[in-house]
Amino acid sequence: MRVPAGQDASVAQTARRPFFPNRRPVEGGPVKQFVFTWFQPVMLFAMIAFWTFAPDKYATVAVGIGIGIAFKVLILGLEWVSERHASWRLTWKELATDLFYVAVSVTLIKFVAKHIGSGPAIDAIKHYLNIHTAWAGHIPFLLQVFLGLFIFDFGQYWMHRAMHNWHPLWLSHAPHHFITQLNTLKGAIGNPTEIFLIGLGIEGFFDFVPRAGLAAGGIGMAMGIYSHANIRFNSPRWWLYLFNTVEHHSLHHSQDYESTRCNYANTFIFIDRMFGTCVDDEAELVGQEGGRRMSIREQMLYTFQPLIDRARTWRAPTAVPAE
Amino acid sequence: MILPAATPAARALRLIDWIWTVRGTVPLAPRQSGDEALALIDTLLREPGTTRQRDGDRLTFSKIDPLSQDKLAVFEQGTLHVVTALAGSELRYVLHSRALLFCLLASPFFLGISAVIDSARISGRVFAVLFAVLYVAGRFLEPWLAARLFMRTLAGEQPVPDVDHAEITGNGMTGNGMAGNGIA
Repeated sequence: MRVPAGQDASVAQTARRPFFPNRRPVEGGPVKQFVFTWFQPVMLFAMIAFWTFAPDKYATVAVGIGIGIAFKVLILGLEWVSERHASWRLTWKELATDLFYVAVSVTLIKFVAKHIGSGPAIDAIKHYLNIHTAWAGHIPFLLQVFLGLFIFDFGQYWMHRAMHNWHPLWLSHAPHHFITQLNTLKGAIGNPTEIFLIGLGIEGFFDFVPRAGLAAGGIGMAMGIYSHANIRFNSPRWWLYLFNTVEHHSLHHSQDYESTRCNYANTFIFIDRMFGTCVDDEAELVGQEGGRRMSIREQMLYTFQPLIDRARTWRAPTAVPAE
Repeated sequence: MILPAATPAARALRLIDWIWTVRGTVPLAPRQSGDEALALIDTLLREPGTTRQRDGDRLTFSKIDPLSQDKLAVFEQGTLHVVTALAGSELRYVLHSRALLFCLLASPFFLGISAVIDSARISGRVFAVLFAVLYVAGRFLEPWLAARLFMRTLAGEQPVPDVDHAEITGNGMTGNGMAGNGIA
């Protein structure tokens, strides 16, 4: 499927739209309503508090990974407590598929990124140009966390937007849009080239303190999980205005391709507001080509299919016209 | 893979095909005919990407890229037939799942990665264990869900889909619009 001619959501289009016209509240008693209204803000403040005040022996990468795993398990469990759509319910096969992509991401893609990703490239550039940014580690801690998140998200916004507007990058990103339901681990699904590209960032140019990087990484991970989880939240209005949510991201995944050209940011939806690509709405039917579920094999090959087709054409014997 | 039952290769395969094959039986109601039973089961297979064929008292199906919420999405191929005995008739089925096989093979795959890639030494082993656990869970859960689905369908408790996604083609019936093939 080629990227059709068209434009991203424009300021004129988005300004006229009502604020989440199809949003439904969480079903249940006052305790459940309270929990699913304040869960996301409380977790955000808890993460900031932990990485701000934790003793050095606990502010480590290993603890960060442990928090990430525990958080994923918790959110998987919450999908059963406040389900958003029965049509997105997690099945064994979906979980196995999602876990496969998480495993590929954590092992193979991480290995590749460690050697040829933005981290080593930035280190080499800083060394070659003799760039020193130790001052970044002396600015207020919360500002370091915000800048780390914002700089990465800003880059991701433009990479993601480019993926929806330039065919070679769309070939890399398209497999992610063939998921037919949203779940906690669905953010990891995609062709490995896309997972590598979307992980590139320039925040490494700034020598923030390590725990600021861990805090930013943890918050970014949580936002990526919220935006793919099959959970109905009563997110406060200010939260919906500032942060990417499953509402925004479900619309980004809708089956109508033109509706996917919005809500590109991973964490801060206000970046989309800045550039006029935010649409405050949601969708239940997600996927491409009418909701066709793509196999792992096809997701792995899809990006390279034009090259494979060209190679097959090149190798095929040329037909000799009959005399 | 189905080989003639008598060959040594088939006997050897039978020793390990429990990894991806599920066999089971569900009793029919006292006065339920084989035709009625298979007609009810047939309603379960009216899903996009599913091709089904009825041959007497035997119903076979295959699926290509089934939808996530297809209740039999884990099983890409299957055969169901009704057997009449003195004690009463029963539905016997054999279901094949590449998804189960894939899940089990993912375990040694990530174990191998942990051995090859130094930075994945721990994470590779963790995922190898997770896939082994997930396989065991799926090997028990999915056959149980399939048996429950067949039982409820034969008892008329399973709602029949509003829309039949299938088309009749020749002797067989096939779902619409689903191309491609794959392992999960």
